[in-house]
Amino acid sequence: MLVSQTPVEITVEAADYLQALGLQAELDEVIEKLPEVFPELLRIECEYDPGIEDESDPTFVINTWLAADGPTDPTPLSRWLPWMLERFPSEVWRHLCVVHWHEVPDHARA
Amino acid sequence: MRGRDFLDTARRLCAMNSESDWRSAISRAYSGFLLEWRDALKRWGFKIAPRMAHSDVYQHLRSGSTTDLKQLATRFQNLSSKRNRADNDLSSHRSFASSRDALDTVMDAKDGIILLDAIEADPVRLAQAIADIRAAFP
Repeated sequence: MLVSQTPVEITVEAADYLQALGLQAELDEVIEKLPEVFPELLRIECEYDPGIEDESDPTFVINTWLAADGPTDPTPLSRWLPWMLERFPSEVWRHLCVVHWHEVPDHARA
Repeated sequence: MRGRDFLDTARRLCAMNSESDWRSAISRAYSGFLLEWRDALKRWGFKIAPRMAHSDVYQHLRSGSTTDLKQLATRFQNLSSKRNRADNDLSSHRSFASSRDALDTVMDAKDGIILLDAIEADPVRLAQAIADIRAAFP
């Protein structure tokens, strides 16, 4: 059961892909863990990525939106990798790609 | 020229002031990482098809079971996804309103290249990585 209060959006295409992969439990675990690793987490948006070059590497992308005033070093990816790699085998993390973005406040936009 | 030289370009782009610069920085950072690893895999004796570098490099890295290779494969996957959005999705994306994520991406690509250098500087680690990939790509 999910206890995370972080808003989560999943596109229909991504939800279908996740169901085909059979990785709902793993996604739930990732969603539970993310706020622990990233106290500055604002929301999560999941989408399906067919792959960039030849569409041979489809991925369930978990876009995590972080507050811009969070720590800058190490990067979010370096903060996230140890847990993801320790917790799941390659059969899982190769399909669930966590990508970090920072929400830029309107007043700080270029 | 080496792939890592693209990271210098990416850093310069991060210091510019427009969305197209920051998107391009992400793209250059990804290319730097990809090309460094493509060339390393070739040095290690693996065949990487000239026009299939993205797929081939990723397949080779993700075939490994050592901590080094697992970390590299996930870094590659992450950089690739960011590059995909930066280059191909020109719809409004809140992240490209500042250089923050471009800077993170350059740092992540650099960390992946530092790891490559560390592996190649350690004969035991290098032999382990090659053997690990060789098991999947004889």
